Amino acid sequence: MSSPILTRLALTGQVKAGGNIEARWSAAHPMDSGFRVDDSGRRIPKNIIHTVRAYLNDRLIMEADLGTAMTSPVYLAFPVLVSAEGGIVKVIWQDDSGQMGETQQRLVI
Amino acid sequence: MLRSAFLSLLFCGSLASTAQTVSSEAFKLPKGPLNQLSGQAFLSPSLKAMQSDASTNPISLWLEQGRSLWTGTAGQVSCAQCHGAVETMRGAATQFPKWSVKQQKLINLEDQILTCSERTPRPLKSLENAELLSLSALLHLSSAGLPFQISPQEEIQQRWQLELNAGAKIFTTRMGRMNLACTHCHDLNIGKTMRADVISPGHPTGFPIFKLSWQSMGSIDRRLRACYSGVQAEVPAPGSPELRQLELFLKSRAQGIPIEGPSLRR
Repeated sequence: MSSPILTRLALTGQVKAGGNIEARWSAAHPMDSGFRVDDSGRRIPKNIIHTVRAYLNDRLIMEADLGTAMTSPVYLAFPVLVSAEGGIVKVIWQDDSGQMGETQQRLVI
Repeated sequence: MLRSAFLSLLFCGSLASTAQTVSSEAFKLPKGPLNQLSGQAFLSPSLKAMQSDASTNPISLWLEQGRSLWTGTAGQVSCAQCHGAVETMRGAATQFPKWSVKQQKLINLEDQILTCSERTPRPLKSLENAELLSLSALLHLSSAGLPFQISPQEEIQQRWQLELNAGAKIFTTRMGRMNLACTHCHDLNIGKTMRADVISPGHPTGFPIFKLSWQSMGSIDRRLRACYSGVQAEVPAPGSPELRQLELFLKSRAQGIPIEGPSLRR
């Protein structure tokens, strides 16, 4: 397993109860499709982020099954409906090599 | 099934909202002379919007990594231990490439970071290493707004001039199966389109770049090699002296144009 994968979660838009904001999540993952070869011609095994889940206060709000056609760095944007109590937006990902990670941001109303 | 329908709705939503923020106007060449413009002026409006918004700009990831490498975590060797806060390095990136008396060759900023890392327990291995590029991106960002300041110390003046002349010669020498020199595009045909892109004067003010077609960051070394490949010439090895000579010439040619920091390119 290589160095840790960097991820970034940005919440954009005006945060107010009942309104929508946009969460933008990106990860500097190599997203090796399994079709590429390295400099010596050996096939690089498939290793992509296959699952991304987003939670608002531990409630699942978005789940994505990604395929080999995703870009690197991975970029996902999705709306988040802001609840009255605010809370924490958390994004969890997992890749083919078994590596997982988590990024979170607090919603400040 | 239901979930995928839901997801596609979500993505449509996000696409639509991006489309609102991204201007749909077509690319227009700026008025006035083109030969002093940086590469930024040749970006499409949507790429410009992506560049200026940290939440959509992929370079943010590299910059964050660079900052954490610079300061380091407790007990870890870091750049800050010798160099102090990254803000004190303002202007450092403007001075490369420079002649290294110790190594008897021209070195650029990436070479310098590589040499620095060899003194640590965790040396970086290649010029296109993600960690190296993230540090280079951070240093270039901290010099944003400053023009290149490349001039030799007196004792190496003669040697330096030879390197600069060699760079100028490469810039004006036809090469490859296309039989083109750099000058044919980047001096004589600025503003015209080549394939689907607009030719810029080739001022190296935006490096390291995130090139969308690479899906990654890359140094000026890699970008110049891509140019060699573009005219179907023999591509020099990474870190070759001729790439450094060309970089030296390009930066002296761009005197007075401010560095923009790490930039997006197509």
